[in-house]
Amino acid sequence: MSSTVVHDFQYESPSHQAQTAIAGMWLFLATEVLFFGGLILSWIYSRHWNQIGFDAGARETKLWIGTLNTGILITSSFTYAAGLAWIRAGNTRRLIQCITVTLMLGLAFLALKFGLEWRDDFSQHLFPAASIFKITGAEEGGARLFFIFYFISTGLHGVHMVVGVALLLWIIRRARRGEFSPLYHTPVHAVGLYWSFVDIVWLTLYPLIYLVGRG
Amino acid sequence: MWHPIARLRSRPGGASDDPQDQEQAVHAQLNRLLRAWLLLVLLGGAEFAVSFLPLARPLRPLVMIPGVLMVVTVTVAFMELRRGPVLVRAFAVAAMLWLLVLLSLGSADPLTRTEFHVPNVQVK
Amino acid sequence: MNSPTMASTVVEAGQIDGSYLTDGFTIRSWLLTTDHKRIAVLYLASITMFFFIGGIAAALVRLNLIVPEGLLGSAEAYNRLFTMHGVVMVWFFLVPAVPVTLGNFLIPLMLGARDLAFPRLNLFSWYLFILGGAVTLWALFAGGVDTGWTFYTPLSTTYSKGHVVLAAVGIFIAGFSSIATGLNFIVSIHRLRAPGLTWYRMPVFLWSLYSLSVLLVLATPVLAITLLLVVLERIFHIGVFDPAIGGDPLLFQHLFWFYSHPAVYMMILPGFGVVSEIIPAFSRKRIFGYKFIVWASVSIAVISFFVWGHHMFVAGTSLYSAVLFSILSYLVAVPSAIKVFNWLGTMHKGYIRFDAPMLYALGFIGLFTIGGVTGLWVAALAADVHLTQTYFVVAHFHYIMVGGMVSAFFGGLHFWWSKITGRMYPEMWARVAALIMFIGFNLTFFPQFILGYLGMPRRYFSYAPEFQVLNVLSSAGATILAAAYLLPLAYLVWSLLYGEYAPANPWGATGLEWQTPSPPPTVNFIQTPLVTQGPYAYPPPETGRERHV
Repeated sequence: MSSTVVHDFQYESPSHQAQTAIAGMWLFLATEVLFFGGLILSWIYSRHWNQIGFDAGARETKLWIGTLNTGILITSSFTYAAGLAWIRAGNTRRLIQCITVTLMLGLAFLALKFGLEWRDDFSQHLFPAASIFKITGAEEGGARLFFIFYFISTGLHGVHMVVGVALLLWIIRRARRGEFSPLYHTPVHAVGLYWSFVDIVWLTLYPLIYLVGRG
Repeated sequence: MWHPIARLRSRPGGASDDPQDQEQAVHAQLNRLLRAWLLLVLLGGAEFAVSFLPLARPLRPLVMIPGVLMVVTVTVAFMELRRGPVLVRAFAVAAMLWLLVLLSLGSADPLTRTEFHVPNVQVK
Repeated sequence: MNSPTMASTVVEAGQIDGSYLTDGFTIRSWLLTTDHKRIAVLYLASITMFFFIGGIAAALVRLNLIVPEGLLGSAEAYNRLFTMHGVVMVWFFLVPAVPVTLGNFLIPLMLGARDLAFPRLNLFSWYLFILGGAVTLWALFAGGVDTGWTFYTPLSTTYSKGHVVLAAVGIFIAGFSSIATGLNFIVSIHRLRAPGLTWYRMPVFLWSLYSLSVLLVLATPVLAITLLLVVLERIFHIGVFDPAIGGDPLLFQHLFWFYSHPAVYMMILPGFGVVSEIIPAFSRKRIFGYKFIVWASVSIAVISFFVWGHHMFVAGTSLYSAVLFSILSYLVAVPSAIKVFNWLGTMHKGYIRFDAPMLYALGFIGLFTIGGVTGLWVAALAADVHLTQTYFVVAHFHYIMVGGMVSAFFGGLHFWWSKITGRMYPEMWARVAALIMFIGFNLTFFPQFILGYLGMPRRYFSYAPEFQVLNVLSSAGATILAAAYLLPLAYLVWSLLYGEYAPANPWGATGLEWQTPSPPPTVNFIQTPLVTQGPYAYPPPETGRERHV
């Protein structure tokens, strides 16, 4: 046995403890599914009652930024998973490199989304609470509803990304202190799950925001 | 009272007996991940293309399929759902099931409500 | 591993120095504790405070209703009072009560573990609870909210002049406390069971709390997003619930009740669990139909997610969805009924003792049954058209929540008081309080069934003069009920100082928690227990008496 079990320690083994932490993270992600799920129900309702206006609003989204961002996040999930594979083989250097690339991609996403896209949206009068709104007439209500969903969902997703970026920095810091090894890298695994989950949320939002109404 | 997580440092040279094996294992895993990434890009392209097709109303929901497959790919390949303990898979299934309940039973009302049409008024 | 069997895990009093209560006397050792037992005590103090705040609001509501024109003179004030009562009682007493006090304290003990899976998360959840509570109380005392605890749109988003945003934020924060607790419980029950403790050897209390936790983690996030949407709509004056732009106010109700219906089961499932522990102990008999009871808890948790539309029968939803929800609501009553029959079956031919916990449990069975059956009446579409938004509904849910849940909470508190504090409470006073509570409760709420049937609407600060007699009876009952709640406060606090010291197992009950001293040491058990038999392993009835098969 390569591990020592302290007599009154709550877990049978370090592996038991690691699996427990991972199970906890998955359960937390399950709660997030329901959190965003409520928002998706609001998309369904808003679109159902106002399809024409809703889709008209959707066509105002910047497809190239959304698509580029989707590619960025997919890649970032890949680079993180690669980092996890490296630390499982004992290579901390590669882990740090991979997480750093993930971090760069994450920051690029945030820059594109909030620095560029949201800024453009505001300047084009697409903020739904503004008195002057780009789309007027019969389609205005539905379009406003679309942008309400757009700003809330991308805003919430952005908050989750920021938390993710903070977690990535934390992992990098701990990795540089040599805290991870093939036998212990539970935080890396757990943060990876979180990061991929935030990616999944984006993969769900992307068609609802950018691709709806294009057909 | 803190319960310290056991910190076991790797022995120099890696934990497995043969560094060569380890090297191969990593590369095999990286290849799997890369293939998953490629699949995601392809599915993304498909999703993008399909959304521009002028499909008839009842066929529109099919546009969701590539998106769903992408989510599954990330979950299985990057989050390693199949490798994990049963409990984790139970949590993931439960989350999906309950999401489906929320969305489907929640949509039952608007789908079956009798709509009394109000003429579109100008929004102030 | 050479662990002792369950029977011999009793630890002699001299073996450990002190208990979790004496393990540190500084404020820091309490406020920074990760010991589930101390956290449970912190929570107990907090929810007691909230219970009395919500109770004072209720007292003022009942005070207002003793004259038809409304004693307080102001509809606005009345609206804010019943909202305060509902918000505080639902989110800061009923949902947390048993799980965070008895659950936190007992789950690791019943599992044979040292603590929950994530002790620091446990402490964090208490801080979230306190923060959420503080923000909510700030909203309520800064002037309050007039929307009712249900926050229906467009009143909450557009027209209300109350502190909606603040109240919603407070509840939002408290919701994360619930989610954290539920997550902790689920993972602990899956991962930390002692050797030999299979699922079917777990006490029913653990199954009930497990089911509750599933509700906590899956339903509460929907409340979170819903409150967020309300807050944003209120701040930006535009949102998804606003019909002026094509939004749907009913969407709010769907989202709200998707959480809030499971929430009422969150409130009652732990009560079921407590009663399921008390009845076998005070009948000295194995629980009847163990597998039926535990799977009934699980089915209640699952089916409770499918019935939320029964709160919206007259709201304007489609008739087809209403019919669907009505049928599903009848379905969810079945597992609850199964439990009631099983408790009765447990008592049948048992050796019954009428100590205070048993009195509360018996009260629970009767009052919960009445509440549950009247729920079936309002689940019927045609009847609900007349009964909805009347005092009938108010009486229905108070029978379950107060007659049921609060009774169960008091029962559990008394049952495990000796384990938590190491002291015995005065039995005579406890029985008197239980009796007074039963009388006061029925006097308060039974007239409300009649009032509802006669057509008195709820949430109205004034009413037609012909309803006065029943209202006065109800308010009189409320004063008796108040006394019944103050009495335990008095003698339980008294017992902390002067009560006799408790042995490890004063009731002679089965269960791992009784195998450790009262109060337990911080580590719970000196050695990890080994479980070799099922729960409720009471000896069979003595020879000479008819054997129960």
